[in-house]
Amino acid sequence: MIDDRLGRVIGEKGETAMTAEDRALWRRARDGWTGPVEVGAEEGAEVDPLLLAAYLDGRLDGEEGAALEARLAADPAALDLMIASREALAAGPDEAVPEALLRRAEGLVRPAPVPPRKGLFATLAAAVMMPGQAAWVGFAAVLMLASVAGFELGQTGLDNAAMVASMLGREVTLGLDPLAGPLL
Amino acid sequence: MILEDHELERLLAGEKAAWDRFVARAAPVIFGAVRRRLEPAGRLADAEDVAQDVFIKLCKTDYRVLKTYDPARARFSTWLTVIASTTAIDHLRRLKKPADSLDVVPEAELSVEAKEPAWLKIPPDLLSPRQALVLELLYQKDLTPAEAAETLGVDPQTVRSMHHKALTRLRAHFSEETEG
Repeated sequence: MIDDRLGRVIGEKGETAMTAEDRALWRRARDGWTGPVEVGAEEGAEVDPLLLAAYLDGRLDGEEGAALEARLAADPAALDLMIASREALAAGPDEAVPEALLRRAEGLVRPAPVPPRKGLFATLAAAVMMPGQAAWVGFAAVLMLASVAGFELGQTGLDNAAMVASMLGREVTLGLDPLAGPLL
Repeated sequence: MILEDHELERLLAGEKAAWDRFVARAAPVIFGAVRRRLEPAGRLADAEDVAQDVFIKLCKTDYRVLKTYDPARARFSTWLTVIASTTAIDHLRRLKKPADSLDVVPEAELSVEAKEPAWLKIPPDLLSPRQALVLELLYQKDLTPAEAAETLGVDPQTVRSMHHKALTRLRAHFSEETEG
């Protein structure tokens, strides 16, 4: 059965043909119809993309599915989104992606910065700060360096004292001055 | 498969190579969904920028949107298509937004049409959500029964059957209203 006003046919028996009266009937009814409220939905909030994706994948059942369908029936924006997504899924991916888009999108995430090379002091400090055995190794290295430096400084000091004493013409013993009085 | 589970972990950890691989695989899905929405509105030239907006949406604020994806709920390509379609629709909506302030809009255009009392008397269980959705797709979105069936992921005969039952109920309800 063909309905001239709407120009389409539904069903072969004719009892389901769409008519202008039917359209008017739904328009009259739709604002007064409220279905179950979508779980977690706030008034005016956008439909949850994950919920809609689950629906499009046929993974929503029972109450959750009915609540989303009620939302889709009552919210033209949500229904537009569902129809657009369904059409895009049916059409499939578009392989002719502009190269410029790929380069721009790749540029959104930068590589992690390379840490700067550490100097001798930073390396030693890091070794001392390291936990466990590594810390002891670092500490021993610092101690050894300090000992060598101290020995060198001491030797230089003794050489200098001997030189001064010879110039003054008297013997100098380490820590005791022969001209001085008793200690006690 | 656009994104394996382990790839998602690397991506969320901020690995640059994982992001580049993701861009290469996701771009055809994103660009396809965006282009499909913008082309009929005559805004094909905006497709590249809008697709870039989708990528920005996905990675900004430490991948906040990407972290909302749950593989147990939906396929990644489906979720990505919804995100891309939303971005394209929002773009068109922003373009459509009138620049005029409320002051220059004639008062008559701002008035709200009063609802007929009968509209408020539809019992919530008169139609199932799916029946209401079928009527909405056929009469408000002007889809054919075959298109409506494809949109709902059901058989066209199911759409015909639901349409018939829904109208029978509505007719009965309104005839009772008239008689009452």
